[in-house]
Amino acid sequence: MNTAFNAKVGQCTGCGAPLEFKIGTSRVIVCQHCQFAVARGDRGLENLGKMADLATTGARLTLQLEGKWEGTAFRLVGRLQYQWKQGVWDEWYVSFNDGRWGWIAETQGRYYISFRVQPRPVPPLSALRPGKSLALGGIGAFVVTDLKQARYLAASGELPEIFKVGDSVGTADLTGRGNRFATLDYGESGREDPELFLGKEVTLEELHLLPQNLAAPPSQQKIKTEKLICPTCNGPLELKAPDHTLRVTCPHCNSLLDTQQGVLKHLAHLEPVRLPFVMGSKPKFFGKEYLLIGWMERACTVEGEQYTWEEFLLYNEKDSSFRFLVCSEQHWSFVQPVAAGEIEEAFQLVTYRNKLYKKFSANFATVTRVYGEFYWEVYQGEQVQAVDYISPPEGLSKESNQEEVSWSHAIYLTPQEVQAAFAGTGRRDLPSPMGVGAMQPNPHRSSLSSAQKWAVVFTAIAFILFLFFSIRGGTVVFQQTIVPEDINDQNRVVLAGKNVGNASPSRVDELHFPTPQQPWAGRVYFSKPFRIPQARRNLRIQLTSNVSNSWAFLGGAVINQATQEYREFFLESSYYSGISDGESWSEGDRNATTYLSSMDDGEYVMRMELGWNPKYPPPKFSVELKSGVSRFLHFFLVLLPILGFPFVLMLRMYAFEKARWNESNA
Amino acid sequence: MSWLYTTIAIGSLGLYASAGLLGWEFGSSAKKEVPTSVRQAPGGYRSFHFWHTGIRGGK
Repeated sequence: MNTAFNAKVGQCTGCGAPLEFKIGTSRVIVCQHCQFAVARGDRGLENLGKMADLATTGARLTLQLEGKWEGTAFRLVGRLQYQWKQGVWDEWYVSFNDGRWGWIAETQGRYYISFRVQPRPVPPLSALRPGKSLALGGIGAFVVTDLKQARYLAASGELPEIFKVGDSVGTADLTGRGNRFATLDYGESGREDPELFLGKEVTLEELHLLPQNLAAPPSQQKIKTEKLICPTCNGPLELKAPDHTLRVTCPHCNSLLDTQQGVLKHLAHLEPVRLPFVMGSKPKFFGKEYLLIGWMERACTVEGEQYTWEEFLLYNEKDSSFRFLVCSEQHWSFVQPVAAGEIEEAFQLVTYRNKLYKKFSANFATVTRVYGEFYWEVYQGEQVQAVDYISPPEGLSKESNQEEVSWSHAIYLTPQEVQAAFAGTGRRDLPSPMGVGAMQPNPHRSSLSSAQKWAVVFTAIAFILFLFFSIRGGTVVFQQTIVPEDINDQNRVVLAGKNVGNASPSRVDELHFPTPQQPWAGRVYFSKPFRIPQARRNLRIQLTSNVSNSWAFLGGAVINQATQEYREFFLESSYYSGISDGESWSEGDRNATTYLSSMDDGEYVMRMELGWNPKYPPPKFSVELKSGVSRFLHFFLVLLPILGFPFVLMLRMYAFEKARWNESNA
Repeated sequence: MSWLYTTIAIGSLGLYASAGLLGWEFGSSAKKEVPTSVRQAPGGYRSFHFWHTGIRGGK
């Protein structure tokens, strides 16, 4: 918006000092001598009254600072401070070389650049709620992150608007994807067509602001803290983040003190706490050093049971940002804020930076104990609705109340990592985590992933071996079908079936008649010699009979003719069937198979003792010997450990996940 | 954990390959030798008393 005003120079209505509006779009200038604000308009200069002193906020930006945004040079020409219930923030009036102007908001080490744009139809302030999605016509979707009722506190330099110190304004801050940021300024009366400022969250680097031109970090700014005395016990206090601290507890008497009015004010007496770390410790997380300035315990109640966790407030002195170190059941996580507009919510899931997070819990989190310094007005009993989403080892947390919604991103840390971060601060050993943490990485997941890859390789090798043994095939070395003559005919032997190779049945050597002790009928045959051509091959012996509701067996031995070594075996063939209660049934198997291990090559004779139920006629026996048979059983057995191991890992992984989700109330 | 798995898997594959190449079988009966006295007797291993199969049969 380009608006030129007539008066460029004039005299301060307060002290008479010369004033010069250097920026054509400026409407107000604050006299640097007497701090009177003077507005210019069509009727000349107007006195707006004396400004209050600027509050110390630890701002890194300064007046006249030059930078560049999206290729256009700018200069900070004015500063306006707002106060709301959680403190003071700075708005810097930015004048661009191309005539545009905008604002850079600076708060707690975060920067937002925005420009006034054409207002869009939006709901009234009273209809907005934190977390509500808002479509700004032609701009895109945003999420309401907080609703503030702020008041003008102080100003310096030039400003584009007329304002009165003490006037309050209702604002709604919105965030969108890609760090987009917007503010709806409803003014003091909550007007229906709020001014819309659109921009994005930026870094100092993006603004091309050179570090050497910035104000020193708050830690290096000479702030007199030695004057702070606890109003309860008169003990000395030293604020570690004086520019941001709104609440502090006295280390001597555990009083919770308010720091806002320039003097400490007693709010409550707190129970002493015992912390694992010393306040003022300087842990280092992800390459950045932080100052431990605060601790609080929060609790929620689920199904009548209270769960507590600890939150350590970390302050980065270089960029004035805050982080949390959270400890729940000795499971640690490092937490940093993220813009609500970066989050996409869909039922039980949210997406953040293309990663899906599942809803894990929803509770009302209540502050139960506090210690140290806080940048907001913390109090015992402070309550927010907290919803946690997880995608181990990361998590997202949404905390909301009637005024604001805030999202934070957490990453899981082991006690060892936390100890390492606090290395040199005296802390030695942290207790081991209890149970399964919500964001704890599943230790079996990576093992399973690795095992699955190897399982594919090992299974392929096993299959190739199986194929090789199958293709290599086996050799039938003996095959014969025998129908023994009835046991009562002791003089004749009936041999049926075809001969295979040089194998043919020989004579009957023995007869067996049923006795009470051995109630079976049988005959013994010796085969003609047959040859096993290859050494170190297994030998499969198969018996098939035509028994029905009866049994038969083959007890035998293969005898090496050269070495007189032999191996015995026994096979039973049986089959029973019938109808019971109208349903047919069957059991047994007419086929029976056995294997002999690693046979020598050479000439063999097989002794076959054939037996059967004497109540029935002798069945037909078919016997086959095959050398070098591929074993599916062996293939299956080798697959057991190859696939079983990943399977066990998978079960353990699921058990771990089950233990994790047992703690969920989503 | 993965070294244990790799060891077990490679061991199993080695056993499988060996079994296939050398004809190993689980539970196979042991190799026995016909005693010299039986060999020298008439009928040798064909004699009834050398083979003692005991009671066998189904139900």
